[in-house]
Amino acid sequence: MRFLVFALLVGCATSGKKTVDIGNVKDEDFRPVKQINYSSRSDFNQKVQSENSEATNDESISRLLWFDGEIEDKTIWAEVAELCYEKEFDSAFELLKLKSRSYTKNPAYWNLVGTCYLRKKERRLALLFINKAIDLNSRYAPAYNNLGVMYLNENDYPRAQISFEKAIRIDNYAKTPRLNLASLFLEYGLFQEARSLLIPLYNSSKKDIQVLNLMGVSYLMEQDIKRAQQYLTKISNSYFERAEFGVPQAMLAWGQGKKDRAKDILEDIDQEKGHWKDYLARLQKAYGVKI
Amino acid sequence: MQMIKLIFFIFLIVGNVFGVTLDERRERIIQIIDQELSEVKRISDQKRGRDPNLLLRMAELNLEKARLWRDKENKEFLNLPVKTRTKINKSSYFKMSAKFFYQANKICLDIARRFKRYGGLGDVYYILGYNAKETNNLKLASKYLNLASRKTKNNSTTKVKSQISLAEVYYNQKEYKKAIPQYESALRKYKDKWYTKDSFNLAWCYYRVGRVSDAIRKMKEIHSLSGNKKYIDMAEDVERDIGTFYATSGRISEGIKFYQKLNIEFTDKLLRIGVNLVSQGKFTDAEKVFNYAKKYEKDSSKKIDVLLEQLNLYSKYANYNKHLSTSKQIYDLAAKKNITKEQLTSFLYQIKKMSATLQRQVIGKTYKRLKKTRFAKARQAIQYFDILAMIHKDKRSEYDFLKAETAFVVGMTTLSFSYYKDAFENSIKENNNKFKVQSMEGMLAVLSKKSRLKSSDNIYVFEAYLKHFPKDKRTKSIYERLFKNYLDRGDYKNAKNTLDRYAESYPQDFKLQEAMISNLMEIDRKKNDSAAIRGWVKAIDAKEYKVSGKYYQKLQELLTSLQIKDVQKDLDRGNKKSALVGYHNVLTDKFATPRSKINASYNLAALYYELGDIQNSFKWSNEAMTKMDAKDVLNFSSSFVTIANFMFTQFEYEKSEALYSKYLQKICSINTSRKSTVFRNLFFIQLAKHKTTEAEKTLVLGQRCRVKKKVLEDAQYELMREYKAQKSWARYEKYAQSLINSGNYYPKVIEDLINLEEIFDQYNNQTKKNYYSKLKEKLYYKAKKEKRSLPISVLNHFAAQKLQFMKQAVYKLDLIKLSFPEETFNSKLKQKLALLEDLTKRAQDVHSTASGQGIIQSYKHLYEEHLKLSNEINNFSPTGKSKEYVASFKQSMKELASQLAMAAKNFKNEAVRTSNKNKILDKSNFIFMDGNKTGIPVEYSGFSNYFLMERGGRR
Repeated sequence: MRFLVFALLVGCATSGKKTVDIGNVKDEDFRPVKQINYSSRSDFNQKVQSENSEATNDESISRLLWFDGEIEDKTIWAEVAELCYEKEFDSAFELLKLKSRSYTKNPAYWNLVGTCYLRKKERRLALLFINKAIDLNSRYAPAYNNLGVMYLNENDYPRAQISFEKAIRIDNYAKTPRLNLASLFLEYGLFQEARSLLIPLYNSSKKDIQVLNLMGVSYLMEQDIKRAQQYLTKISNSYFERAEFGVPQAMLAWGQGKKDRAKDILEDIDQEKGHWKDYLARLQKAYGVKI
Repeated sequence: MQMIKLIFFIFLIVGNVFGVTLDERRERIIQIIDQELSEVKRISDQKRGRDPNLLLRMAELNLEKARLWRDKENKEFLNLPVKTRTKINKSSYFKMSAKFFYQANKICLDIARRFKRYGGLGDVYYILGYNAKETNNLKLASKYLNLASRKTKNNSTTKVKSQISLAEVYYNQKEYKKAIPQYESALRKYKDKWYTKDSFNLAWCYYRVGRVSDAIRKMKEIHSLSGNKKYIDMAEDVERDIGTFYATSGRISEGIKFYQKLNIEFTDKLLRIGVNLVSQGKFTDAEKVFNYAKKYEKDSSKKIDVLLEQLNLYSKYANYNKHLSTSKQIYDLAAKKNITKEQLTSFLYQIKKMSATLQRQVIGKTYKRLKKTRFAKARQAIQYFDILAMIHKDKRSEYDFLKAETAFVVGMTTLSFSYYKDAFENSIKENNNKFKVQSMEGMLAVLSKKSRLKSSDNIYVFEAYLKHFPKDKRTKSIYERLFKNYLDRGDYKNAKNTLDRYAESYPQDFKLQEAMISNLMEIDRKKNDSAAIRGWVKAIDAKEYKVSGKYYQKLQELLTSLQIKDVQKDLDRGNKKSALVGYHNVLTDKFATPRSKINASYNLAALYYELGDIQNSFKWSNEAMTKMDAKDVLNFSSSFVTIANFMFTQFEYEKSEALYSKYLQKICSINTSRKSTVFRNLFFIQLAKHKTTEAEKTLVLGQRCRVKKKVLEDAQYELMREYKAQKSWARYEKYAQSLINSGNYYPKVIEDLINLEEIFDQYNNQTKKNYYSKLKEKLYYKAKKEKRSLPISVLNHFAAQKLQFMKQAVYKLDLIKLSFPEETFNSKLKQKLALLEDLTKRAQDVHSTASGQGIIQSYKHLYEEHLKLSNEINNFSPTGKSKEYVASFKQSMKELASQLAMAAKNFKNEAVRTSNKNKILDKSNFIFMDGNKTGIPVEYSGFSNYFLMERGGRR
């Protein structure tokens, strides 16, 4: 006798639950969850405020949060990104679990999960979900940007570069990978390449601190003090304690002949680790600043 | 002549009167005749035979003698025993009379020939005619007697006698029309004692030609004259025959009157008349007479006699219809007990004979093609058997059987069946085993034909069979047929009862039991009566029935099917909650088959998945896969993989891993593309959770299951990287080794060989270090030759190796310090310039590695060393020499220094250009930067400023 008929798994599960009580189950509960498909037109942050990260407010919530921006966006994107940024991963994943069945085919969703795992430093899991996003949409630029960030965390700069470049190739208007790549280029002294990436960002956002900073740094590398000044002087001195902002400011002052100012700025910079530590030491030595 | 005759007659009388015997009288007469004959002959001889009268007389005497001798011979002949009579030569016995007849004939012929005008020729011809008549030569007799009649005078005796004789001849020849005028003419003239006898013949002649009234009239005349002694008494003959005339002419009343006068019952006569007519072959007349007799006969017993004779008549000329109707009439009378024993015997004889005849005709070939006739005969035969059965009530079964057989032969199956049935039932009453058996055979034979019998008839037969022949060899098949009939009627109860009886009688015969159970269960199944089906299973388990193992298995499957079907209906209708409950019930049902439980498990998994219940969808998927065989798992791959994916997207990695693992193990030996996908999913989940041991096992499993080679290599590579991250060098090395021969991965793995070289260098394992050093070189050059893409780190590594050679040159350059005397200076300068050139060549080697980092580094060395030398030359001032010498020396070196500085600048520019063009990420880029305005070259580190992109951005 042929095997019996099985139910076909045609439907999707509702929101994930650990377990259900049969007594409370209704036939409506079996209805497939309505899918929220990806739409590029709605794939951006709304109701966010931060002049300092103005260039990428619509793309990067984590950048927004880094600059203490305000998020009134109550979408899952904002909520999860905020939770993950705050390292409240359990809450973040609970929220993700609840919603995951609605976004089965949505690459943005899985990209979000990947970013959370990246924050959690679960590299392989992050990769699985970012790759899932790419499987769903091979032209989803955020996924490549985030891969680039992942590679950077592993000091795999060439791969990071490739990833950022791919993101930009896919989406020429993507700002975050531009910013990231410009930052990477400046890290290796490719100031002209960096500047070409930064100019469109600056044109669209003249208040973004990082864009201003990187533009200033690119000119400083070229020893064009005047041009550097145009950008660096727009940055609030409240950021000068961070080396990536303070050092260019000090170098600008030095280049302007304001050596004392340069020294003051250097002295106020927080002790850094890694590269900045060595560089600061050299700079302080060159400027005659006692540590 | 006349005198002699007179004397002759006187002697006869005297002889009689005086008590002389016939023989003695005959002897005396013959003596007298002899005496006369001799006398007449003497006289005729005297006349030389010329007197025809004498010759005639001689002929007459001879004729007389012949008659007398004929009488004697006849008497003696008749006295002989029959057997003797048949054996002896008859002609020799009548020799004497024949001699005298011959003599008489001879004389007459002589007279006729010689005396053509003889007046007594009439007598002569009469003698000849008479003799011919006696010798039965009727044609000749007729001829001579006609002549005799013509040649004699009208009123003469000879003429009368001739006419009478001729009439007799005609009568014997059945030429009644010719006989009548002869008789009439003769009898009109002469009325002797023979008148009544001759008139009797005439009456019959009338009758024969249809002149019945004349015949009756003549008979009456004869009857009335018979009272007169003058004439021969023919009264008895008349009384015998006139009845025929009355009867056949329908003048019964006259006949009755006639006979009443004689105190004779005519109806009795009619019967005899009829019988006579039958014996004469006059069947139509006989029938008529019998009908009259029947009509007028009031006595039942006599009527039966008449009817019996009619039967006989109809039997004789095979009128079956009338025979039958007559038989029925007889039976009706017999039923009123108006039949004697003898009559009954005759009647039975007739019926049996006729029925047998008809049956033979029905069975025989004669009427095979005449269906209607055959049918009619069959029906008739059956009616005879009916009559016989009614008469022989104690033999009803036999006659019913015969009826049945007859009906069966002609294809009246329905009818034959009812007769067989009657025969059967009656045979039981009569305790007649023979017909019981035969009638049962008959019923079975009828059933075997495609008849229009009802199933109730079939059932009757089979039940009767089983009751009365329980041990017969056909009983098994009868059970089967009985069962089928009950089934066809939808009589479940009795069908089951049949099965039960069969099981009791043949407990070991499982085949038929199985078949019967199947049929009954099919009914239960159609009614969705699961309880009934379970009942069967229970009964089989309790050994109430015997079935084969294979069938038992099918039963279980049927049960499964039923169990699931109901639930499936809910599912199809969208009542998923009911279905959910239903499947749970299946699992808790103790009668549920393993198959149905698997089905339920799977469907529960699917339903819980739809509900989004992680725990239960995992549990039941796992359960289902555990119990399913590989083929089933494969068939439902899509579902299982979907659920496993669901686990993954719900971040339930353990569960996802468990399901993938189970799935892979199940379908391991099956060739399917899903294997690689599932393997990959499983492996990378394990790796993501840092479960390297499990990942290794999965890898082994993948190899065993023949996952695609590329997928396996991907896994090996990632596992290798994982071990590297964990600093598990032994495992790291193992997997690096496993990939060195991979066509896909060997270029990538060079990076890891470099790592291993470094590791073993750290661990001071020179052997392994050298091994990996050589291996990496080998694979590097192989990849280069094959123009394979190499990781940047590998390019950088080999560039670094070549940079070492540059560094050696740099070291050598740095070692050489310019100094005087002049020859020394020139020599050292020359050496340095040569080393610079060498450095440039070595830089080309570095460039050939295509390592961006290497290229920049090489430019760095070139830039630095050229600048260094330029500066060294510019800054060199010979000691112990004059100012003018020094000035001149510096002037002469200025050009060279300038060129070197220019070269350095070119290298710097080239480095910057190359770096910018190829976006080479190398810190050496900073070497070529100025820092004069900012104090030192500006550097930047944005490590903490790399940002994730959660959204696509406003577009």
